Amino acid sequence: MENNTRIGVFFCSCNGKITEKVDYGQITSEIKKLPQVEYVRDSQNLCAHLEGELICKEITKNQLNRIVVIGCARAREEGFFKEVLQKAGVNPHLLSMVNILEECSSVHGKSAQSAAKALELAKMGVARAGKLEEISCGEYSVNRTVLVLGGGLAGMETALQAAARGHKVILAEKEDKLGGRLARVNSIIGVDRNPAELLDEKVKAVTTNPSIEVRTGTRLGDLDGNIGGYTAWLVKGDSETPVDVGAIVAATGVQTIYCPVKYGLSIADNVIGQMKLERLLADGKDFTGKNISLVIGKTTEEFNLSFVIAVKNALLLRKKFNATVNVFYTNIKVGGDNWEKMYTEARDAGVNFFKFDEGIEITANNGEILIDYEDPFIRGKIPGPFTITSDYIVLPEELVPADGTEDLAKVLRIDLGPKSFFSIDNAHILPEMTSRDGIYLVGSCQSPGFVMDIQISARAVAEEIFRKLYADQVSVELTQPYVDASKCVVCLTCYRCCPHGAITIEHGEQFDNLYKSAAQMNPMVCRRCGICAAECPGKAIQLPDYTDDQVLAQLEAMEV
Amino acid sequence: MSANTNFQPKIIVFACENSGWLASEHAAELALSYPEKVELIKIPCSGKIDVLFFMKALEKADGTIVMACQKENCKFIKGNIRAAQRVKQTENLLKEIGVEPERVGIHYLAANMGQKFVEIVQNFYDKIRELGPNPGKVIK
Repeated sequence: MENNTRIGVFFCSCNGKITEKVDYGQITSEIKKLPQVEYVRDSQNLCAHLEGELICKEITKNQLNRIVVIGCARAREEGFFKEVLQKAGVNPHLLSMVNILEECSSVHGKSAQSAAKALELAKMGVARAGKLEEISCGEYSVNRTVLVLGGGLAGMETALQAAARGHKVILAEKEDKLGGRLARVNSIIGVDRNPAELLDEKVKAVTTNPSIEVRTGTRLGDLDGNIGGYTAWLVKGDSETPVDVGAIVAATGVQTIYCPVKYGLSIADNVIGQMKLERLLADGKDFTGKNISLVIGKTTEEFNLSFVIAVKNALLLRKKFNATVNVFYTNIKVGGDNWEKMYTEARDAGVNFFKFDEGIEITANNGEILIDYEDPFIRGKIPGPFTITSDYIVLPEELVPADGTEDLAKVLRIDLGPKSFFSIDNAHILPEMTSRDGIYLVGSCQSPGFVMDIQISARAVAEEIFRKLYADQVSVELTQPYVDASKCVVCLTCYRCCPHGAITIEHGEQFDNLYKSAAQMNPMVCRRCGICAAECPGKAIQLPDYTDDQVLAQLEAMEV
Repeated sequence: MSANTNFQPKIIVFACENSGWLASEHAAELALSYPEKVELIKIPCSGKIDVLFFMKALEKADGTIVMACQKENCKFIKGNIRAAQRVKQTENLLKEIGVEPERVGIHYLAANMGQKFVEIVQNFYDKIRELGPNPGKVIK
């Protein structure tokens, strides 16, 4: 390929937007002088459909094998030109785009300097094009089985969604029956269903589905491999069995810690936690005419779950039992679909909302609860504290990740985020994804969530798994960094710095070095950040499309 | 202060595809302007930056910076941390060979910060202008 590099340069004036500031005539004549440039063409609007066909024709006519597009370099246009190249039978990675529109004509006025810059940019683009390399596709056989950890609503929903997309599912639950925490709840926000019924329906659907295998009393002991080829060791009792799976979904959920001591109270019948209240309501306890106080805030402000549940239950107690309900709050965090409405409805129904900041004191006295609190707003006018007597007090619980989340994170090799919940990767991509492809999060294990969110994220995860593992043989573009084995000394620097766990050390006779081994990147896992390529002390790793040669060629083409 | 007031430094900006590059596009959308002698080179993540790139860039330019995503917000988790390390490494190298370490830097911004992009570039440009021409530059 070295000797017959034929570069075609296509100029686009973007309907005159570029040419009003930059004169293409001069650049064209300069570019024509460059070696390897065989064809130069001016156009008004290159991304028009007909132009695409014209480019196709010119590529075949002039036997071009590198294309430089000078105009703009937006992702959308890049996709268009890649398609055009593919149609013309040229590898779509042999495309170099130069952004004259945004780097030059939009930000600079018409001057000799901006003209010089435009020429320089064009030269850099051509220089890069000369160094471009083809990237082929590879076929990989993958295992399509999905392992779901956690048999709560999130786990079951994901299992059902994945099964509906043709995956075999193994549902591992560490308890001895399915259901999770939803079994202990009275009502669900935003879902007009009885939780027990909903749960029964899901359990029935999961257990009768032929492609879902439920394993109770099982947890994940160890994990090896990458997406499409994990080996998971499932621990049941004392026995450990390896299973081959393609993707793993963690739906391990949340647990609550009830700690009345924090509020200066001891355990008593009329001091109850939020979950206990849900349980009592579900069991049909009568609260008619009682005086109930709910406290929210203070130490549980990280997640809005406890706020919304408190407002929901306050409204329910008020409406169903005509009880006197007082809600003591530091903040009301009810941002969400219809939650604000629920809050106003609660106010209208006659729930009393009292704000406090620091000054709240709760004492239990012969079956009565005395709450002394100070209102921060009227403190100046009417000095407190005020005392309210209640029959019951409902305290918020602390929300912490389920038992064993930390150990599981180590096994899955993913990070823990705020409050030691699983860390969602980041704002750039889907919230259900982790830093490793093939490991996904659903439900409250990433942060305490709501049932309706769980249903959405379960679907998103199932869809994502299907997108990756759509058949037993998947075709992957081999855009991962490649390693020059003769330079690799197996120092493990790349292995340690890869944020996605995409690198493995392979051994074999084909690796031409002392150790007969080299680092290899898995194309299904790699997200092409190039950290390994930059970090490699031996410069053995090159990232396609951004190889050292290409970047240095760009720098080389620059004027001093 | 440089004796030559007409001195126009050349700056090479390595822009992360997820922040700096998009910010420059945003700057263009906002019709902002920055000095002409600022060149951008796209890299997939600020973590791809190499000491070699910086050194090569300083053969041609008076200053070079890398534009990375905001701290703790790298798409690849620790790319910007790596980039900061690389900048430090380059600074040490420059000190050794007697070039001002201020000629290299790292700046954090997000994709929708066109204004900030121009601000960073302009500030760096002014700083390099005061520093004067790069003594290590290749003279043709």
